[in-house]
Amino acid sequence: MSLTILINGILIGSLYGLVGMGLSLLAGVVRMINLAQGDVLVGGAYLAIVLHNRLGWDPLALLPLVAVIIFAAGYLVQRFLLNDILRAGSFAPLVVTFGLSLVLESVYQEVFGANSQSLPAAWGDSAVTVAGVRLESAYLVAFAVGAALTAATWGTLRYTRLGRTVRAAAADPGTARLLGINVERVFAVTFAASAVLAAAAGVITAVAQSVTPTGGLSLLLFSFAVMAVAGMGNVPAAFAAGMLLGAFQAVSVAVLGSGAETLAVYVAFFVVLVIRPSGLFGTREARLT
Amino acid sequence: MIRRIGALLAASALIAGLAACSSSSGSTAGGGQGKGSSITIGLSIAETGDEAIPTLLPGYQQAVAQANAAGGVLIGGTRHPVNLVVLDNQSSTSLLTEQVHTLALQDHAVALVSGCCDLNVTEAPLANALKIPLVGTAIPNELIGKDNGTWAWNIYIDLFDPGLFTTALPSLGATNKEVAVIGSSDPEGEGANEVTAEEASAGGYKVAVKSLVPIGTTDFSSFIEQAQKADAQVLVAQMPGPDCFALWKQMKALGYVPKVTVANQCGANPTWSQLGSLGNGALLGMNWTPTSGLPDAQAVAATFNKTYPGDVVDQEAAVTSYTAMEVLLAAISRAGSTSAAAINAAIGQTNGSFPLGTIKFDASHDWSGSTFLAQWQNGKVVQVYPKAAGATAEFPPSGLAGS
Repeated sequence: MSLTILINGILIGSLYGLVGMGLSLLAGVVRMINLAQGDVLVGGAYLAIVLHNRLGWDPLALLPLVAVIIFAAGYLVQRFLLNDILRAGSFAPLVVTFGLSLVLESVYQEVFGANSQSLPAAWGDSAVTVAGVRLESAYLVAFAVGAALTAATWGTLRYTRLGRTVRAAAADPGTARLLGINVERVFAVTFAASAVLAAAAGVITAVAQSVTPTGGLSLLLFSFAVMAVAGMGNVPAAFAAGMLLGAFQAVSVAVLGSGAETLAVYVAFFVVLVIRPSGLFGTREARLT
Repeated sequence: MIRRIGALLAASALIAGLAACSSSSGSTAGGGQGKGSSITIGLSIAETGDEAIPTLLPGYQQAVAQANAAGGVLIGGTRHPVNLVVLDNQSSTSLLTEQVHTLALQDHAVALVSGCCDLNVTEAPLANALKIPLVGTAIPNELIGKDNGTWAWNIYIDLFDPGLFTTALPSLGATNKEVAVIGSSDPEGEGANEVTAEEASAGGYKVAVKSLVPIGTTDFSSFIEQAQKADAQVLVAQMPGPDCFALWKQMKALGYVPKVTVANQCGANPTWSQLGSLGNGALLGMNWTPTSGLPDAQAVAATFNKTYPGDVVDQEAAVTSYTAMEVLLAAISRAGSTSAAAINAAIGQTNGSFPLGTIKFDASHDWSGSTFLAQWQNGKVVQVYPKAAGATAEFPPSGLAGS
């Protein structure tokens, strides 16, 4: 196996990390699994495709616009739908987000058709050579965007007033409420941020690969694997876990053949769950970091 | 007690009688045995999901609409309207299985027409088990096996035309005849890989790299590296659209530039044009093009050009399904009854001119029709073998050049 395959595997893993990070953040703060996370990713991709067709901008330039729109949509969904559902217990949001997933897939199907769609960009099929290693530009962008969003999320949680509020709400929502924190708003902001992370991954996926209305499911499963390896609520670890999975996947394919690509991720998922249920980087208690 | 048993027996007899009446009336309506009653033809198709090919539907509907406009299909001197029941199997084989049973047993379909590709590998044995004729597009009978193909009839080209490696590809330009083959690890992809290897070998080519990948694969760097090391100048891919999109982008990024690229299944996707210049030069096998010179090609093209303006791959799918339905309706008419066995026998005796050419099935229920090699050039599909007037084949494909 060449170094090119290994490093590209790690870079591809940064895309998994980006998706898993959103799921992990949501699980760490709201204690909720969003089964529509893959569909949010696909939604981000389709939104970028629509905007690209109208504005003609490079997908990277569209990222902030997509982020703002998805953030607003995510905030509204959590604030006016999921927050109420959360009161019905931890099982209810699973059912509702599963339903949301089915609705979104049907809408995508109706609006965009069943065929795969791709976002054109000069960096979608180019590469740069560093020390004899040919690195795919699209995944370099995935790494850069992933690293930037990881740093931004971690920094916000660690060093800002908003971050302290989020951590307080995550640690003990009841006490946080007594202290005057609007926990519902914190949850809505967290859901919206989680959706933005998925949408960013969606835009890059549409450039590096393509998207279909039902394509979110496989990425959702990958993000579960990322969360299992990283542990819930550990944002930087989720990004690292994505890259670790990408490297593991590349090595597995090189050693066992192409058929091992998906299998490798699920095996890693299963093994980590059995050996260390809190994740390789996680603590016994889910903690937001 | 005796009175209670008597009541139970009477109730049972009543229910059995009602069931028999219901079954009998269903058979008459669905089976088309009453004078002028409608006959049902069933279609389980992937309108959604990974294997979605909704473009087959307009062709089937068009043929049925034409038949109904003429009063229906003529059976034994009486015209019977045709009722096409369409169910979306969402690309799921389990849903397909359930739907085929529903169509055959509940809707009393006299025959089935098919969707496409890998799902047909599941549907053909089902048709065989239920003893219901199945006429369709891209039913790989050679993968189904002799015993499972009795009731399935394929009017699309085989997985690969035997002439691909002997005449079509060499006509484009010289290569080192080293081939890299990649397919999805589903029955169709596996079969396609095997058939390609056999036909490449027969054509004097050597399969240097052969790989099967799960549907949804996004990282092909290992395969690409092997193909580069083997200097494979011919690439044959048999995969769904999303996988091919990722493969093509990665081939360009990693600097793999084969002289010939065949994009089966994924190339027959109108959104291939979204790859922009990267998609240029990809070849695909077709059994109809507007420039094919086949019977009524221009008239048929005009019909489906309304539904799919300028979109040759979707037009081809529609023409194929249109022909499949015409073949079936003609066979039902010739059979003179809605008996499954009679229809099946009549399909086997098909020998006539249709939009895809003269259709006559061989012993394995395949039809060896014309095969055309087409190529994506600047968002359009151009027939390059046999070469259409004014067409020039890209060799090597410009899309991957300049990596």
